Amino acid sequence: MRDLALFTKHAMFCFIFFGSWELCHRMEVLSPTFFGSPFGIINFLSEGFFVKAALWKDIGYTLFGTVVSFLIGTSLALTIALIFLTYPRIERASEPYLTVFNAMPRIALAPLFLLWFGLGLGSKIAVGSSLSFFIVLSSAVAGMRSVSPDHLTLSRTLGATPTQIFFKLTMPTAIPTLFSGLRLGLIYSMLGVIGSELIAAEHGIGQQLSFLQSMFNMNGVMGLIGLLAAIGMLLTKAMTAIERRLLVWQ
Amino acid sequence: MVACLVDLSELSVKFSASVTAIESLSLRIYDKEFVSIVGPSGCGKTTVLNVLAGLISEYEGKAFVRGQSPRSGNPEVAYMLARDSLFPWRTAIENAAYGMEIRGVSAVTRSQRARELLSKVGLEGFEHAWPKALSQGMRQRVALARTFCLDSPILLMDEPFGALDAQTKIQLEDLLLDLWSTESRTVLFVTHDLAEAVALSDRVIVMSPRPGKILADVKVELNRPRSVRELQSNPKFLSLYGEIWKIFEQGFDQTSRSLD
Repeated sequence: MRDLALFTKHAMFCFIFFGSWELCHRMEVLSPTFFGSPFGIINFLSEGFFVKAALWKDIGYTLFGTVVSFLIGTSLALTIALIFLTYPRIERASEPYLTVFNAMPRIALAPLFLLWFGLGLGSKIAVGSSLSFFIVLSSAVAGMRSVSPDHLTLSRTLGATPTQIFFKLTMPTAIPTLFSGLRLGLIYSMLGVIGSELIAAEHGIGQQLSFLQSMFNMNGVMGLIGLLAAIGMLLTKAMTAIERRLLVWQ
Repeated sequence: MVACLVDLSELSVKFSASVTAIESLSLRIYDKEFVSIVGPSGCGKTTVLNVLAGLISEYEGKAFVRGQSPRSGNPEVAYMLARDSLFPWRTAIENAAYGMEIRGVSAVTRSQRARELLSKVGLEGFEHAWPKALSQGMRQRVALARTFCLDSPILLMDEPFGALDAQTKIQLEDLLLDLWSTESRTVLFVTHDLAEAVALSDRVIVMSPRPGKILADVKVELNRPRSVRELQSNPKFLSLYGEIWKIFEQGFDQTSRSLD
C-alpha cells in the first residue's frame, strides 16, 4: 500500500515535469535547439530501437566495453590487493606511484590510449579498466585488512593454514567493503568507456552522443542521456541484488 | 598416577626490556582438573594461556603441553576467547563446526557433533540462526559449543563470561560445569571474578599484579556435582571466597608498598 502511494507520487511528479516541458516546447518557451521535447525524445528512441534498430548495436558496444573493462580492472585490483596483503613491503614501495596514478584524471589518458589501442574497443576498455582498478583496489585492501584480530587468533590456535585463513576469514570479512568498491567500479568503468567513446570511436553510445550533439539533435542527446541513466541504474540494481544475496547475514 | 597435561616451570615472559608480564611462574595441571587463574588486570593471566596456545613463542623457562613444547594449531588444545568471536557470515551450526572444519573433520561428523553440542548448550532450534539474531548469552553458548566440539583434551578459556550480565553468567557457568563433567576435559580458566573461580574450579591460582607471580594455589574442596546458583549461599564456598580474597588483597598491598 505504501509502495503504491510512493509510486503514484513519483508518477505524478514525472507527469508534471515532462508535461510542463512538453508544454513549454509547444509554446516555444524552450528552444528545441537546446532542450528538445519529451515527445521528440520518445520518437527518437522508438525509431532508434524499433525502426532503424541501430541503438541496440551501440548499447551492445558500450555495455560489452563496460563489462570487460570492469572484469579486467577488478581482476587486476584483486590480484594486486592479495599481493599487498601478503607482502606489505611491496605495498609500501609502490604507494607513491599508485598515489600519482590515482590522483591523475585518467580520462586525460584517453587520447594516449586511442593512439596505443586504436579507435576500437581496446582503447575504451583500457580507460574503463584504469578507472575501476583503483576504486576496487582501495576497497579490496581496506576490506581484507579489516579482519578481526579475535577471528585471526582463534583460527591460528586451531591451526588454520594461510589458504584457509584467506578463504574462510579474509574474503568473507572483505566482501561488504569490497562490494561498495565493486558497485562504484562498475559505474566508473562505464564512465571511462563513454568518456573515451565521446573523444573518438566507431560505435557506442558515447560516439552517437557526440555525433548527435554536433548535429544539434537535442532529442537524440537527451534520449541517450536518459538511456545511460537507465543503464547505470540497472547495473547498480543488479550489483545490489548480488550483494544482498551474498550478504544475507548482515 | 594422574597425568600432568600442562607443566610450566620458572616461566617468564617479557614484552620489552621494561615490561615483564610474567616472572618465574611454575604450575602443573593434571588430567581432568578444572583450574582457574585469578588476578588483577595486566597480571599476565592471558599471557599464560597465549604461551600454552603457542601464540607467544619467546619466553624463558619451560612450558610443556602433554610433554611437548607449545605450538600454534596444537590439536591437544582448544582456546576460547573473551569475546564470542562468532563469524557473522556463518550460522550458529556453521560457527560451532568451524574448529572441526579447520582441523579436517568430515562434513557429516562435524554436522552431527555441532548439532549435538548446540542441543547440549540449549540452542536446539537455533542451528540456522545468524549471530546477529542471537543474544549475547546465546552467542556465548555457541562459542562454548564450538570449543567443546573439538576433541582437544585441554581447554584454555580466557574470561569467556566476563561480558555477561550476572544472571546469564550463572546460567553459563552451570552449563560449563555440566559440559566439563560429561565431556571430561582439563580446563585452564582465566577470570577476574573470584566467586566464579571458586564455584567452578578444583584449584584457584591467585596471581600478583604485574609482573605476574603465583601468590597462592588454593585447593577448592567443594563437592561435585556443583550448582553455581546454590553455591552462592554455601558457607564453605563463602569462607573459601573470603580466604582467597585476603590473599588477593595482600598481593595488592605488597605491590603498592614496593611501588611506593
